[in-house]
Formats: sequence, structure tokens, C-alpha cells
Amino acid sequence: MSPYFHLFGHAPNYSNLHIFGCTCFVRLPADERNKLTAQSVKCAFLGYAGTQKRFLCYDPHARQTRVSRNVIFFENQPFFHTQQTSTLPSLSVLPHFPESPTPVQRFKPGYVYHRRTPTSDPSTGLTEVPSHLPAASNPVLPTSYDPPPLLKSSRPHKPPERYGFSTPVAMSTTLSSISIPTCYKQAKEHECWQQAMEAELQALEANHTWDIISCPPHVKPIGSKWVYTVKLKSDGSLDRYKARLVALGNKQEYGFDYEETFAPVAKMTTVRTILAIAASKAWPLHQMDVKNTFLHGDLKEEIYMKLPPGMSTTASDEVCKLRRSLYGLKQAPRA
Amino acid sequence: MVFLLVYVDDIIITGNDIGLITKLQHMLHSTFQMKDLGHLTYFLGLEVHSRDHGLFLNQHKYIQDLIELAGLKDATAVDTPMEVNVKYRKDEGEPLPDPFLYRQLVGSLIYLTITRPDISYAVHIASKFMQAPRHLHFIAVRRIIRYLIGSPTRGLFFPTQSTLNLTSYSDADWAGCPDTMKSITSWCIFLGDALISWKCKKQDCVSKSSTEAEYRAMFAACSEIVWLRGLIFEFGFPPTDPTPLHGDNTSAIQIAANPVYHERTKHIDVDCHYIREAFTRGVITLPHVNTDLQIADAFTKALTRQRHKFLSSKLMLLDLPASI
Repeated sequence: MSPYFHLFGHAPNYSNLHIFGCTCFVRLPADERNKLTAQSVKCAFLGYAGTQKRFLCYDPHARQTRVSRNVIFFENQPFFHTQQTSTLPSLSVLPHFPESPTPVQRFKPGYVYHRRTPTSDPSTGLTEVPSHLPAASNPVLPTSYDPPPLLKSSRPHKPPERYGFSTPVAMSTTLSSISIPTCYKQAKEHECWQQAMEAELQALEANHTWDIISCPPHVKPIGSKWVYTVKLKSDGSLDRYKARLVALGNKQEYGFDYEETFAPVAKMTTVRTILAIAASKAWPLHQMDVKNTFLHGDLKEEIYMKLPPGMSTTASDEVCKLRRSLYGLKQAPRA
Repeated sequence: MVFLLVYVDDIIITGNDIGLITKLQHMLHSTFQMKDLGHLTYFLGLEVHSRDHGLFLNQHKYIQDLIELAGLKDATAVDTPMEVNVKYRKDEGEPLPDPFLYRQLVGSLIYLTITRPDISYAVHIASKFMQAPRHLHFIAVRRIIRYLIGSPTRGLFFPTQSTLNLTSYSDADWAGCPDTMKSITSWCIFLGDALISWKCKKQDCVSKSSTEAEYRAMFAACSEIVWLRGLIFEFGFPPTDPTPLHGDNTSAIQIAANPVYHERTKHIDVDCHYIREAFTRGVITLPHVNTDLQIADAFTKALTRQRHKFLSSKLMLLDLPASI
């Protein structure tokens, strides 16, 4: 129990205290600002003025401390970066702050902004008419009359960010930093992908997915290809390289190679109904997950597939007769 | 009694016989390569939270991802998913240069309605313009997402000890679609206190009167009731009482309950006879409900803040974990 508590009967109020060294914005006094300049200045929070109910902040740009009551704090942003704080003992020279622009840079003379003209179709728009008129009324004028070039801002055009158009681009850049091959030819150059493909082939053989036989004369085997992905962990770091062999099911014919294509799914209302009943009766709920779902199904139809690229062959007419379902087959979800 | 719910490769097992459940799990393990994930916590993007008072279902992570995808992380929250008294038409505003993001967002929002019936109507409106979205429609979608920012943990609550009787509400918004003048069907069905099924859908033909629109909504709700009664019967809980189907339109109720054949309702005979039959067989009853207590109202129009809050609580939508 603190003396303060004894005296006043409640704990002191700490809500006015702020984190030392955090970024804050001090509202400039009236004589330092006008309508067109910045209204506040970025400072580092130092502490509290001893004699007044005010905050003490350091303004590195003006090289002075400011004492003000009108301060907005960004408590989670330290003003000095951590590497710079380690060199703080030798703080004879304060870091340079390039981000605070001087008024001269912001108001360049001769920088003219123009209203954008609506881009209408020139064949139907009215803009075409005046260019014809002088040519018809005054034939002395050269017909290839060049209009003066339109003054246009050199500022790069950017769609507004508030609609979020830039977000998908930002997401794909993290993935594209690791190049993903699109075909076997590209992938076999890299060892990581080769290992991934070998692992997949071993898994398929362990599962006894196919028998290798010589091709019967009347069948036309379907092709297969490799699909490569990079699996990322939830924090965005690399997890593993993954190669998956898929059959080219788009060459399969309905009624001949496959008949039913569907996957068993439950209606969402049914899911909610079961959960509601389980909740009301206080039943236990367990969850299970099938690994490599698509590879469990046994195939009823006879499907022949060309040997996957990268598998060594002895005879040229050998094909895989599939025993089990493979990703890419039309009937794979049914199994 | 053990139930197995299969969704391609995800399986939920529940039932009142714990010994049988473990036996079934062992059997599945020996037949397939299974991964036992223990107690149900995460299923198809739904987060299931088990509490003493009941089960709580939400899609918190999905909402966070959606907000990030929309680039609205720093946007301010709003209290309702849609502005009141605004009709969105298909040819208003500038067309979006790239409708990809719009479609992606609306598609995600449709999946989100699994646990968020409160945005159902707003998503229904937004999804009408998937074909050719315009800027005004995009603003509506952004508003839905800003609404989600304010309530990211909201979800459905299934209380324990609730009865297994169905209760339902149906409503219609006559000529609710300004482009086609078709009406909007809406209904919701509760199992005990838990909301399990609802719909917000544009009707497929134009209705001449609000009674007719209301009647078609009742017809749609009635079909769902018949199916749900069958489903619950299969789970071993045969329904004893007829299911009340609350409506706020007395003339629609009169048409169903009263076998007088009226000239103005000649053309809606199929729906008419279906509901009449269900009524006489004792599958449904048709009590009248005051418009103020009409819960299906949440699926027919954009609501004011107080009304939205009131109906959300009636739909058993709660915020985790503060209110439990």
C-alpha cells in the first residue's frame, strides 16, 4: 500500500504517463504556422515540464525542445530506431531526418496541375469538329495541322488505394520471390524440385497407384504433368517444396473413361443442425481428417496413363495402368 | 447412437455413445490414413468454441483475412452492414475497371454468411451485381466489410438444454429488386433457440401483390420445414408438434388456412395447395406475428442501428467471449 493510497483512498492515476522516447506530434504555436503549412511537427517525447502541466518534447529539425499541451502520441513507434539507441552514448550528432520536407520542396514554382479531359471516342466527340473547320474554310493552311501538345502532369498515375486494388499485387510478390517452375524441363535443373518429385514418385509407388505394362494396341493413354508449389508456413517463411503428379483429365471422354464426377459434401444447414443438436444434448464432438483423400479411391474404369516425365523407361511402349485415383482425373472426387 | 458428418475429407463424429465413438475412430484409422484432430475446433473455416452454456460458431480468422484482402485494415467500423433506404440498381455509377477484386470479396462474403446471418441481406444485394459491378456497388461491399471490422468475433450460438422443436418466421419484400420488380423471399428457422437455417433470395417470378410475394416466401419456408423435420426425424428426434410458421401478413395466412378459392389468387395455386396441405396435415401452424417481432425482417431490408442490434440478438448472434 502506497502513501498516496493512504492519503487519498485510491490508487494514483497513471493514464497521463506516456512512453519515453516515443514518436509524438506537437501542435505548432500560432506564430510558427499558417493555414498552408504543417500544423504539427514530429518530435521525440522526453518527459513532463517541471513547473507546468505540459509535455516536454525534442524537435530534431529545429534543434530545440518544445513544451506544449497539445501533443498526439504514437506510443508504439519509438522515435529513434533500436540500432541508433545503442549508439546513444555518443549522441553528439543527432540523426538526420530526411522525411521532413522543407516548404521550398513542397511548393515548386511553375508546377501546374490540370484538370483531366474526359477521354471520349475521337470519332464521335466534338473535339474532331474544330480541326476540320479551318481546313475547309481556309485551304491555305496545311492540312496536317498539329495541335499544341496538351499540358499534362508528369506525376505517375496511380489508382486510389482506398479500393484496395494494390493489395493482391502485394500478396503475390511475397510468393513470386521464389520462382516456381511451370514445366518439368525448368524444374529438373534445380535440385530442390528434383527431390520433391522423387518423394512424390516414391509415395505413389508405395501406394501402388499403377502397374507398368506395355501399351495395349487399341488405347490412347492420357498424359500427365507435374505441378509445383512452394508451401509457406503461416509466418510466410519457406516450409517445403512440393511437386504433385496430376493426370491430364481434360483428355478423358464422358461415358467412356468416366461417368460420375462428384464429391460428397454436406449441406451447411445439416452441419449447423448436427452442431445444434450436439450442443443441446451436450454430446462430445470429434474431428478427423483423411490424408491424401484423392489417392484412396480405387478405380473401376481402366485408365492408361503415359509414364510421367522424369521416370526412367526401358521400353518405349510402356504405360501406367492406374489402379488408384490420381489428382486431375475426372472421377477423382467421387472416390 | 453415433453420427458421422462427411465433407470430402473432413469428418465430424458425434453421438451419445462414447464407447462406440472411440470404436468407430479406431476402425476409420485402420482403414484409411487418418489424422485425428481431437475435439472439434476448426471445420471448413468455422471456428467452433465449446463453452459450458453451449457451442459457439464463428469465422474470426476468415474475417481477418477478408479485411486484409480488401485493404481496409485501418478503416473505421460502422454499426450496420448497409445504409438504410438506399436502393442499388445495376446501371448506376461508373463500371469498375477490374471486377476481379469485387467478385473475390463478394465470394468470400457469401462463404462468411455461414455464421453471419446478419450480413445476409447486404451480401444478397451485393451479389446481384457480380456480372458487372460498379463503383457504387463496391462502396456497398466496403461498407459490409467495415461492419465486420466492428464485430469480428460475432457468430452463431447454440445453447445447451434447448428443445428440439422447430420455429420459423417468413417474410417478403414486395418488389424489392428495383431492376426486375421481383420480390425477395426471406425466412429463418430455429431449432429450439438455435438458428440453423435461413434464406434471403430473389423470387423467380414477379408477384402482383404483397400477399402473393408473402405467400411464395411461406411456400419456400414450408419446403425447408418439411425437409428439416425429416432430417431431425432421421436423427432420432421425431417432431411432435406442428411447426409454427410466423408471418406478418394476415391475408397470406388467411389464404393458406381458409379453403375459399379466390379469383385474385387463382394463379398461385401450386404454392397455395402445398401450404394448405401441410397445414391440414399438421406439419405447420400459421400464427400471426407483429411486424416489430418479425425476425425474418433482418433478411428483407437494411435496418437502422437499434433495429439491427435487436434482431441480431434475436438471431442468437453473440460476440465471443465477452457475452458468454
